[in-house]
Amino acid sequence: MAELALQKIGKGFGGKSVIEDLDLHVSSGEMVCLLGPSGSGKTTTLRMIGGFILPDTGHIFIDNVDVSQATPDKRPTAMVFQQYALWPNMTVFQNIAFGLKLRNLPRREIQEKVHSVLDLVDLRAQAKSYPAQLSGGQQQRVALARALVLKPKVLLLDEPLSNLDAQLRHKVRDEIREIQQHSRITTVFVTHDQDEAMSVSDRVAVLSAGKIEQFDTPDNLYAYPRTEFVANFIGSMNMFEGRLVNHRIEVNGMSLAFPSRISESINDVKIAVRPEDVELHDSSPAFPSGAIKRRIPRGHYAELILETAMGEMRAFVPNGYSVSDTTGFSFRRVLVYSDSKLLDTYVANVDLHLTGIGGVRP
Amino acid sequence: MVNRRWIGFLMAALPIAFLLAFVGLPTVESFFYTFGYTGGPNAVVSEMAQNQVVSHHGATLGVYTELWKMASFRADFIATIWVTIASVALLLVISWVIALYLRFSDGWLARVASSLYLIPMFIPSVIASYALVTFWNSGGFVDALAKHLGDPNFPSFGYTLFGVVIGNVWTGLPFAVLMLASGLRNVPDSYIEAARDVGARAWTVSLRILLPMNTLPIIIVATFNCIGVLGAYTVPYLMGPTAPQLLGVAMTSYFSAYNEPQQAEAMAVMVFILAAAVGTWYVIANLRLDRKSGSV
Repeated sequence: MAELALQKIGKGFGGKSVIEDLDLHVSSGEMVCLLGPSGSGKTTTLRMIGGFILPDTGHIFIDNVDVSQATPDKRPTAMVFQQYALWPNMTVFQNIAFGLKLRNLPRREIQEKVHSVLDLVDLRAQAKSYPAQLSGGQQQRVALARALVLKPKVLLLDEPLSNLDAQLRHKVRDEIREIQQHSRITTVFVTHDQDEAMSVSDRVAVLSAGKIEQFDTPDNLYAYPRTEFVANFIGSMNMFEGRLVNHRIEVNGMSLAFPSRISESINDVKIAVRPEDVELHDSSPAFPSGAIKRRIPRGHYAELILETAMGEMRAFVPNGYSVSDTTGFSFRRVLVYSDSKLLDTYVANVDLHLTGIGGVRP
Repeated sequence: MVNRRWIGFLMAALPIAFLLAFVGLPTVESFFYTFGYTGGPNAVVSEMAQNQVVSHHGATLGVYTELWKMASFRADFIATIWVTIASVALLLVISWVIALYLRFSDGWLARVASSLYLIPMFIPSVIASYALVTFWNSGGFVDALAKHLGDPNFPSFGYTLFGVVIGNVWTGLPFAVLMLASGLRNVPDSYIEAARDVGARAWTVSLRILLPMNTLPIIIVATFNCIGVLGAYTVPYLMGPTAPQLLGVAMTSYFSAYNEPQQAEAMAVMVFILAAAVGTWYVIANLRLDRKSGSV
């Protein structure tokens, strides 16, 4: 178990900055996910932690030891690569034992350690197989075993599930989390898949253009996305541009009443509503209405695309609605953003009243 | 469907028939000639040849035993094996180092080197051999330089077996570097990084990861050069000593200068057996690699 700290890390390639002043603190035994779209700098950050790229500025500390300029073989880290990178000329056993042999451990000790880690990933029967003879999931577990056998202080996972099919991905994802929790190893996991990040991590760092937009628990990221980018990137979100007029938010001629105090200096805002926070009602003058344009079955619920005066809107609702139905709607919870930042003053006000033109909700 | 099959057969049959007529038949004819069969298509050559071993009933190994009794042939045979092994070993080491440099360097020097190593491919081996002999020979540039620097006994490589090795390395270098550099380029960075991550230094990565992962190009370079050197003529003729000679040169001497085609062809059969052994090793090594990669 070890603490990992990145302080003011910066990295550029060919004169173009990829990471800027990035700070990150991973607690001992924690599993943190670096999540972001392509080009956000998540893999570069991971590779800097592993020593495959050296930072231009800033420092990387593992248990308060500065390893910023150390080569990978001098760092107490181990990486699981995206393509697994199992050496095809070696058997599973040889792949895992390679690092131990370089440390000149006695043969018996090497065998014990390798067999122990093979038991952990449930691959003892495949010890003599070559990587090409294994399935994708098995190869992934061998790569994990090869990293774990060296007992690193920090485990680094570079999109380790991206080459697996959807079903296997879920299974291996759960296995990785189980092994991580069992070994209590500090882990940094890179992915562009938000579902993967949310389901295995203690905390998630959402990156965009080389900066951390938000570093928080999965629950907080979903409930309180602090920037517009995170709101759009995590989960599904309805976004509407509006203006603050007399303590109300006007969106395309509709008006949201806000009981909270609003700064006079703010004019343009965006309101964000999760599809599950869109509540449907029977058509009545009390609620603004929308037409159901499309219905996407999602199993035990349905996703509706509504055509409203505010614009197109997604809603997660129980099954039973049909296309072309007209329905009234209101919002259970609204997030308000100004200058791409969350005005969290208003987030707590879940009981918002939606006002349609010519009609006020009683 | 049937027509298509016939068209395919005819398309293949034409070059096969050509090869059989112009290469296959003379090879078979020569092969039998070395076992004492002087009749049939060998009748004409046997009329003119000297020191012939003739078998009136069945086959005889007389020409082979006669050759092996000759000290000069044994010396030629051993010299050929030595030069082949030394040439291939030196070629592999030099081309591996160059290929490694090209794989891991991206500066201007690497870019220049990536073009320079192809130059020997465009220089005829006759010219290259003369250039090398002039450079390394007694009285050549290196010798003159050594004398000027005060070493009158600097060894010259011209007309020595080692000179032949240098010549073979020169002629084999472009193909060898091309193959090895291409093999190294195909090794993804993640394999190298994974090795560094578990604690391997550059030397260990080269020997334990890159070398085994490039077995196929190494085998191709080794076998092709091995077979090429075994039957080489130009470089050993121009750069090699008078004795021992390499078998390629000895075969020519026996064939034209001594008018002993049967002995020359027996030598060719022995070179063929050596080359076939190398070829068999190539096939077996390939099969083993396929098994490891899961394709067999």
